[in-house]
Amino acid sequence: MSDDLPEEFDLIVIGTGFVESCVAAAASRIGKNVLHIDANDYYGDVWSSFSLEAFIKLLEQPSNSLRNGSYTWHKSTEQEEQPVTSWTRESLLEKSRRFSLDLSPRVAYCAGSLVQLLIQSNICRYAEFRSLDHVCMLYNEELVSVPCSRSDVFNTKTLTMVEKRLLMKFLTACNDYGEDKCNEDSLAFRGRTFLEYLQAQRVTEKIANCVMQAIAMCDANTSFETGMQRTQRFLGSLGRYGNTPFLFPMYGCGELPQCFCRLCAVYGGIYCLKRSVDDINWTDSELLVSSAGKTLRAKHLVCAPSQLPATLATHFGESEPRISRGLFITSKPLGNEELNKGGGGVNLLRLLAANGEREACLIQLSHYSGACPEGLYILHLTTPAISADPAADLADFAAQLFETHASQILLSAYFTIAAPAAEGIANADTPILCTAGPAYEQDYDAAIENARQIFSQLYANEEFLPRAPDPEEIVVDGEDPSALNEHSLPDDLRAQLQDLEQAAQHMDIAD
Amino acid sequence: MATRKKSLLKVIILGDSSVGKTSLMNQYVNKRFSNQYKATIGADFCTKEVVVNDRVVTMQIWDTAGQERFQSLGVAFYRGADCCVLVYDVTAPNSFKNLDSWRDEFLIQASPRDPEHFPFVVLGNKVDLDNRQVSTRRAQQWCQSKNDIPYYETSAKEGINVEMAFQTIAKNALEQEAEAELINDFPDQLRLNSENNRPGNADNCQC
Repeated sequence: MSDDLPEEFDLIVIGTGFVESCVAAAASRIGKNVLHIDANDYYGDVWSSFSLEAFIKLLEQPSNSLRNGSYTWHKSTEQEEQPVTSWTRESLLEKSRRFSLDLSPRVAYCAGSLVQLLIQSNICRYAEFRSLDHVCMLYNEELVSVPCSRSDVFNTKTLTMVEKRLLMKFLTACNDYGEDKCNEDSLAFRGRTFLEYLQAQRVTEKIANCVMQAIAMCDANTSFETGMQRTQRFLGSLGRYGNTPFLFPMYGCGELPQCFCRLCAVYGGIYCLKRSVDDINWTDSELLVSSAGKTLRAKHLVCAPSQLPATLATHFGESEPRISRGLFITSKPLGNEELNKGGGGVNLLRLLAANGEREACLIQLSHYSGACPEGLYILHLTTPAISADPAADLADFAAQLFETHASQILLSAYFTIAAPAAEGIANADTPILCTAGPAYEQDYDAAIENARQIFSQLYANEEFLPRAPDPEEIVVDGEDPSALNEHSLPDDLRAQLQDLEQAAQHMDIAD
Repeated sequence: MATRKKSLLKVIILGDSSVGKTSLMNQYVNKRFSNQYKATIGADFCTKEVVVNDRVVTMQIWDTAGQERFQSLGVAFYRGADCCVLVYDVTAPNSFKNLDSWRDEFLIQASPRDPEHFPFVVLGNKVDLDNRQVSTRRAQQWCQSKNDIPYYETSAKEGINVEMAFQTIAKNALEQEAEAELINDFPDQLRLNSENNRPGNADNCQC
């Protein structure tokens, strides 16, 4: 590779995971000169998606951030005469590139932090999404769809007439909470648990399950305020896109870091994959990065924990298991036909175990997500790690899914995502800013907050990812003097333009 | 899930650095040329409405944003492409030799359903320059050997053949699209900034 790489930068970012890519885009957007490198030959680090072949290879090569990998091919449960599926290991591998297997899959709230950031920055033009088809819950070992919209509530067969009315009443009360018309009674629950509040509303067990498992996503100890907040987040994301409050990126979550990287590149950021770092040194005024026989200099440096050179990793503390992941490829979706109409879409299910003390998140993808071939389904199971054995961490959840719900599993895989503890990163005695690695969460709140915080540490008074103009809006100086700009417009058109801009601003903050 | 006729065509432009990808795009869409851009900065994508077979379609032409410079184009760039334009510089033989690897890279990354018939168009750019190194015959032969890829010799600077080349690109992309429609790829995908994603009925209530 001819190496005419420049050697001096405002900022070098090492690793192309979600947080690093956010920071790189934000810095480039305000005119900083950014070099963004990654030791891997793909974007996204532990936030990436992989073809089937690449995924299996990855499990076989443990790293600092991805470990305890294992996988098993399952033979069709052969009742000899009637093979349940025609898929084999070979036929799956033949379609390897039709898979987009996420290491860190998650769904985004339609009015959540990710969607807000994408719209605010106009990075949304690089991404496409699918609205989730169903939010599910397990009730009496049965997988049922949680009604989301008003028409869902009316149409659902899951609930009785009385339950429907109770649910609507309850959700309306939650929605109004905190506003002037707020019901005085609910104030009495401040400082108590959300479950207590729910029970006081005399809802049925089924509705309580609905709310706790799927809508408020609470456990028995969740405080009243947090439960209310989460319920409002769910309700506030309804009616925006599709029928549920969630979105999933087409082709998997690994697309998202690449969207941020593209914005960084459009603003002049330089990209270099397959570029590892041998060492990092620093003086009072700059950092020196040794990479492939070259010394690259930068005023600031941001690095993913997984890509720190060995000599420096110790400063940031040992990597420890953070997320336990299971990934299953099946030829049959979970749940009945109703939940998987027309071949299925994207379904979400939150699972509880150990008396509600532990939770896991299941995302089921059909080929409509762009993440697997037609006729197959990907089941992503995720839980906070409590040990270095992901299969053991997930055993209780997997049992709930697979023991009572016949599913034709073709491949099962487990792995752990590891990262140094937050204290280690904060206390490291170096000028390197280390990102936090994926946390267990719905949406990207913690990840975006991490990026925002690093950005403001670097560029205190600058705006984080202001809207990037669309290409049509850019007029290159001196190139086309006849091009229209706002001031050369007739008054009526200018007023229209301003109206449009105002409307656009309102859209971003509407909730 | 009814099939929706897509009227947006995604075209991506590939080729070595400084063969004139951004200039071609700018010449076609904005009818202008600048010697200024050395490496691609600020080039994202351009949209242009074209009429093909009496149908108005919006062609969205995606630039590499300079990420090709160190072979670092991610798979997201290739997603959903309806046509791929391969550009080389007729004065730079290496950029011609690399067409092979750009084509391979596209087929691997985009993994189109029918790689044999996926529409490529090859452009030999900078024919306005004197020091030409790759002959028309050589380029045509290569194109023929790859399932008869349409070939044009262009000058982004002088605007030679640019209009015609992109008309072919639009036409072939649309034909590809017509075939893909039968397969009904992803009918329900959303773009976030667009108003029309919102449910059409009055079901916008917050319960």
